[in-house]
Order: sequence, then C-alpha cells, then structure tokens
Amino acid sequence: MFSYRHHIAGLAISLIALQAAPALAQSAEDYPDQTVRIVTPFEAGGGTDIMSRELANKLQGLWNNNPVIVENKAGANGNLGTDIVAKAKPDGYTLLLTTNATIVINPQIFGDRVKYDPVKDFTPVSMLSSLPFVFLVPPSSPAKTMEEFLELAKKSPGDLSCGSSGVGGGAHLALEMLKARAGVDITHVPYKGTGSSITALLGAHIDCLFVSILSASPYIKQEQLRPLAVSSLQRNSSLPDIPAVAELPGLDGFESDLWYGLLVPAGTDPQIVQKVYEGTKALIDDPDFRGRFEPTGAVLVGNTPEEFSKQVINDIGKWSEVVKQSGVANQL
Amino acid sequence: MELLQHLSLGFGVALSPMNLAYCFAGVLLGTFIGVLPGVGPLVTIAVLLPLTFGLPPEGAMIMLAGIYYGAAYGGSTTAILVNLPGESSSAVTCIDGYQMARQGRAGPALAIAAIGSVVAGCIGTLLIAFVGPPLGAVALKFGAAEYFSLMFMALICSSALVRGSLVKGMGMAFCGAIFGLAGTDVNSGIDRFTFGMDGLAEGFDFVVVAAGLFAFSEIVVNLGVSLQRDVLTGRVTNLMPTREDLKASWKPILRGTGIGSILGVLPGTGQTIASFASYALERKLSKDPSRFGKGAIEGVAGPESANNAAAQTHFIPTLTLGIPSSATMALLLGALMIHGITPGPQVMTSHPSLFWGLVASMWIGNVMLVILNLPLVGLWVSFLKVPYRWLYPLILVFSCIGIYTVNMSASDVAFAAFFGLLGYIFLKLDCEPAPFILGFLLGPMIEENFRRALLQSHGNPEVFVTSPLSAVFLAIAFGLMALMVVPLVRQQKDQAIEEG
Repeated sequence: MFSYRHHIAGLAISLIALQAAPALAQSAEDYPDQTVRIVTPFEAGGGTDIMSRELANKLQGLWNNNPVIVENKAGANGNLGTDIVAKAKPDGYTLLLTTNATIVINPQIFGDRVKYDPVKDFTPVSMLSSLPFVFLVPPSSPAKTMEEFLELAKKSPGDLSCGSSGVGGGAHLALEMLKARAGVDITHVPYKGTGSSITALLGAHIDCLFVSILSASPYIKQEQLRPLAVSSLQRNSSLPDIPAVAELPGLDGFESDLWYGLLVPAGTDPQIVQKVYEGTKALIDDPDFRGRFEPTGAVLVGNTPEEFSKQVINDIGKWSEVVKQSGVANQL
Repeated sequence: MELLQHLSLGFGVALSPMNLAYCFAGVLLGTFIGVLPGVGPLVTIAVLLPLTFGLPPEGAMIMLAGIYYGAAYGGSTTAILVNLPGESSSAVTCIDGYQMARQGRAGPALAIAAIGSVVAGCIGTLLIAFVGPPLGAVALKFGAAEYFSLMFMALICSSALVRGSLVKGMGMAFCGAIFGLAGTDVNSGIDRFTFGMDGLAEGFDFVVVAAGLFAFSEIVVNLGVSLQRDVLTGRVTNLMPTREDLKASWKPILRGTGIGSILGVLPGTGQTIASFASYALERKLSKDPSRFGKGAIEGVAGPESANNAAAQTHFIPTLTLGIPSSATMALLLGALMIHGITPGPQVMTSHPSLFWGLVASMWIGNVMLVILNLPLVGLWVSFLKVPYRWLYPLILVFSCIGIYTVNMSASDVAFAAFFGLLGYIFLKLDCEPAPFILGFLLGPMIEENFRRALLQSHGNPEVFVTSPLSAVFLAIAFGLMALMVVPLVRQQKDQAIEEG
C-alpha cells in the first residue's frame, strides 16, 4: 500500500538532505552519503512503482540506512519522468526505474515529443525483470490453439479484432509484431487501460488480446478466458502448458515482453554504476523477493550493465522494423 | 446460498475495526455537512477525494459512501428545524416538516424522517445486493454500441431533468464534454486541446474539476448570500412519534422506498426528483390533500424514505455498469479510478471485498445514523451556529492541499481555481454545474465508444439500431428530448422541481 505520509516524510528528508549536502562532487568510495532518489515515470501503485519500492528498501538496507526514496513522476506516457532523469546530474543520486516503453518504444513512435535520447542520455545498470504477455481469446472462440487462430485471421483479413490497453502500449505493439511476423491483418481496437480491454474480451466484443500474465492469471484460473500463447522467447513457469509464440513455425525468435530496467544519467562514474548494479543484483537474488514475484509470471533477470546496454541497442533495432511496418508512428 | 456467502464476506470487511471507523467517520461527517446548508456531499467528497488516495480502496469507498448517504439524513434535520434544505433532496421535507416543528411536533417529524430513512436505506441496500450481480452479468453483454447509447441516454436524461431549460442543460453537458476531451485521444493516441502543455497530456484531473466547480464556486457564491436562520431548537421535546403517527407513516415509507429505489437506478433522475415524486403521490393518495403543507406527517415520511432509497440504489449503475447516475456518483466513480479500479461489471468478481464490503457497510452506516441523528439532534443544531467565516477558509485550504497532492502539481491548483471561476460564472448565469461534470465524465466515454463501435463495424452506423438494447436506449433519449420540447411537459417539470 502506497502511503502519503511516507511519501511526504521522504520528501521532507530529501529536502533536508539536499541542503546539508556538500557542494563538492562525491568520490565513488563515499557513495552514497546523501539521499538517493529512484524516479519512476509511472503512477503510484503500478508495476514500476512496486518494483521501485522493493529496490529502494533493499538499497537502503545495504547502504547503512542511507535514505533511498521513490519519486513518481507520471505523465506523457512516462516520457516526463524519463526526461527528468535524462537531464539530472550524473552523480548517482538520481536513478530511473522504467520500462522498455520509455526507452525503446516511445522515442520511435512519439518523434519530436520525446526530448531525450534513450542511448546517449543514459547508462543502463540492469534489467530487473521481464513480464511476458499472454495471448487470450474468449472461451467461445473457435480457435483452440495459436495456429488455429492465425488460420482464422488469414482466412478473413481484417474481420477479427484485437483489443489493447492503449495506442503505443505494450499490448498494442505485441499485436503489431504478431501482425508483421505472421503476415495477418487484425483490426486494432484500443481501450483505455488493461481493465476495460479485459472486460471487452470477457464479453467477447473483441476476438483476442495481449495481457500481462499478472493481470490475466485470475481469468485463466477461472477458465473465463483461454490462453493460446505467451510472448516471451521461452514458456513461462507459471503457465507451463502454454506454448511460446516463438515455437510456431515461421515465428521463431518472436519476443515482445514488457521489461523493467534501472538506468542512470549518462556520464555517471562507472564505479558508482557497479555499486548500484551490485545492490540491484542482491535484490534479484533475494529468495524472499523471488518467492513473491515469480508466481506472478515475472521473469527475474538482473543482468550486468554491459549485457543490459547491448539488449537496449538490440531492442531498439528490433522494434524499429515493427514500428516502420505497422505505421504506428504515422498515426500519432 | 451464494448471496449469504457474499454478504458474510462483506460484513467481514465492513466490521473490521478500521472500516468501522471509516464508516463512522463518513456518516458523522456526512451528517455534519448535511446539517449545514450550502455545504453538500458533492463539495465534501470533492474536497476529500484526493485525501482518500492513501487509504485502502475499501476504506475510501466506505467513508465516501457514508458521507453521501449521511448527508441525506443530516439534510432533513435542517429542513425540519430551520426550514432550510441542508440538501436539495430534502427541500420537499421543508414543506410539512417545518410546519410540524412550528406546531411543536419537531420530535416526531425528526423521528419519522430517521425511521423512514433507515427503512429505505436497508431496503435499498438489499436491492443492491440482489440486483447488482445479475445486472453485472447483463452488463458484460454490453459492447461499444450499447455503451454509447446507454451513456448518451444518461447524458440526455440528466441534462433534460435539471432545473431550467433543456437548452441550458444540454449546453452545460456539451461544455463539460469539451473539457473532458482534453488530453490523449484513446483511439489514435494523439494529444487534443492540450495547447502543448505537458500538464494536460492526461487531460484535466477529475479531482481538479470537481473541487473547482463545486467547492470553490459554492464558497464564493455563498459569501454573497447572507443566510437567515430561525432555529427551532427549543421546541424539540418529545422525540417519540405517537401510535397514530406511525400508523399514518408506514405506508408512505414503503411507497417512498419503492419510488426512490426505482428512480435511483435510472440514470439522470436524482434524489430530488424521487422525493418530489413521493410527495406528489402521497398528496394524491391522501383522503384530505388539504392537510399537506400544514404539517402532514406523510409529507415527511414519504419523501425522506424516497430520497434515501434513491441514494442507495444510485450505487447500482455506478458499481455494476460504471455509469454515474448523478454528479456525486461521478465523484465516487472518480475515487474508484484513483485506486486503479476500473468501474464496470468485473468489479464484483475482481474486487468482491470492495463491493460486498461497501454494501454491508451501508447497513451498518444506516444504523449508526439513527443513533447519531436522534439523541444527538441538539448537538447538530448547535453546529448551525458555526460561522461561515471559519468554515469556508478551512474548506478552501483543505481543497488546495488535496488537489496538490494528487499529482504533486502546482498547475493543478491553478486549473482548479480556473474551474472555480467557471463554476461561479455558471451559477451566476443560473446554469446548473451538475450536467457539466456528467458531460465531463460521460462525454469522452461516449466519443470513445462511438468510435470503437464504428471501428468494429468497419464504419457502418447501423450497429446503433440493429442492436436491440442500443436501439431502445436511443429511442428513450430522443423520446425524452422530444417530450421536453412540448411546452406543457416542460412547465410541469419546472413546476415539480421548483416545488421540490
């Protein structure tokens, strides 16, 4: 539960800490000796917020109770908060916990309205976890498998409709990737948020939907919705019987997950980056944390700064194809 | 029995010490503001909305709902003792309630109002428990076309039934819709009406609009009016109604509950209409209609039951369809959304503890209200003496803090001030702000569903009439519009609302 008292207290502490901070730059050995803030560009209570608070608690514990606070800077699809960190001082006291939306996708589809460069303005620290989507159909659907669904879609181009949580969101882009890779035409029907798109699927007003495993699992358990495939490269441990889209002939390598990653402004001392990475890794390896997050369908990663940097570049290349082909950017 | 299971879950939630405390705080505050004329549940909920952010959703909704139906109780106290309706819905109670008080029968009038309210409240809540789940199942069958037509009907009904002309009501609703459309368009993702301001990318925050339009403007308007009070406190002596009083009241209470329950479910018809309809019915059924206006107890029992029943059944469309049937319900809907809960048919299945906890808390709250209202009536009356010069700055400051904390954004406070100014202009021009807020909330949803329906039908507009449900809703909406154009009907409506 997100508490305002906590937030305001944190804010007050950070103000005091800022005033007390010495003006000179810190050396990496002393890091951290003032309040570290984790900026998350999405609303309180969401996935990035929960993850940020877990990380803040862990880092604060590891760093002799040096305050680590979470700041929610939501707005403009996450671009607002991401931009704040891009322009922050690279001293290791401002971290960004965001998703691939603001690092990989938004810069490609929003054009001029994204005022940061996702590669030049940031140093990636670690990818915390990825959340695969699961492709769902209503129980009344004639398609029992992903192959059957794609057959149907090929037979009547444009007749099937697929919901999403919003234009340019993860669910929409997963659909666009599926359309591009499988060569099918499915009408995209955007909704306002995941909740209302699930309601529409429950009533069979749309034919299919990509939803994160976390949001979909209650409906899958009660057999109100039928899962056909997951969007990750491999099957997910929480849905072992459901194949990955990538297992289908001609769709190998299909991957369209939501990931949570930690980044710092470019130019941050590599030693500080390493220290933050070690703290993050400690959280990912914490059995208590794993025990709570893995059952939700999240895949915990915790890769190194080098691995994460490579992945960001790879992802940007992979999505630029899909974005170009789908014409998503032209709609905006 | 599934219902029993649900209710036991609900009572489990509602009887937890924290939620009992929220419920008590809600009804206490509700009674308090209900007693005070000029400060209604709308204003209070608008002020408290951002502060409920830190509460669990169950606690937040239980408290806000308590304020809402608590105010309906408190409003009658002021109506009977001071001849000032604390709430617009208790305006009808003034007619005979105040006369009873002048005849020295304030006690029985207050008691009958409370008894009627608690009976109606309990029956109304029972209806939510029974009607909610099947209605939720029906609601899943609603596609974009049906939602469009239903919301369109709701908007037409609520703007047609306000005081004043149809044109003004519709104008306000459309005006609200335009403000509601600012922000990112759902269908295309394009920013509209934002003038390049980042703060508007997500549109105007509902809390900002509500606080400005209702809290700020109400305060400014009330500053310009000096309220004259003639408090009949000295005359509350014997609270117990006589056997004759009860005999004369039980039928009006049940009839009022029936009328209120039905009207409460329909979008657009408020508690005010329900209490007036009940009053008119009692007068028609009475053997001696001339007694009305001179202290007839039926004239208190019926309307008070009707407005409380409507207050409860208003929750049915709000919780099961996600469609607000009044401006206050629109605020409660906003509270749900703040907690990340999408209102709609799945609320009952995905958040059963919220839905059933709320239902159970209404029962508990209704009982609490009787205890609060009857023995403590003297205390409430003394609150009528709180000078507004203390009350108003307090409300204003709380509102600003609340608005700021939603997004930690100072521009939101400025936007709220803008809506306050707008609301003041509306009130001065005799335009009801209620259709504005409904338009603000429903307008974007209407557009979204309209375009979604066309997207799915590949641009064929026939979907709106080929779906039987959608066709019925549209027919009602256009029928009502046509009816309002007929001068006689319009006159009767205005007369009804004036009297009420």
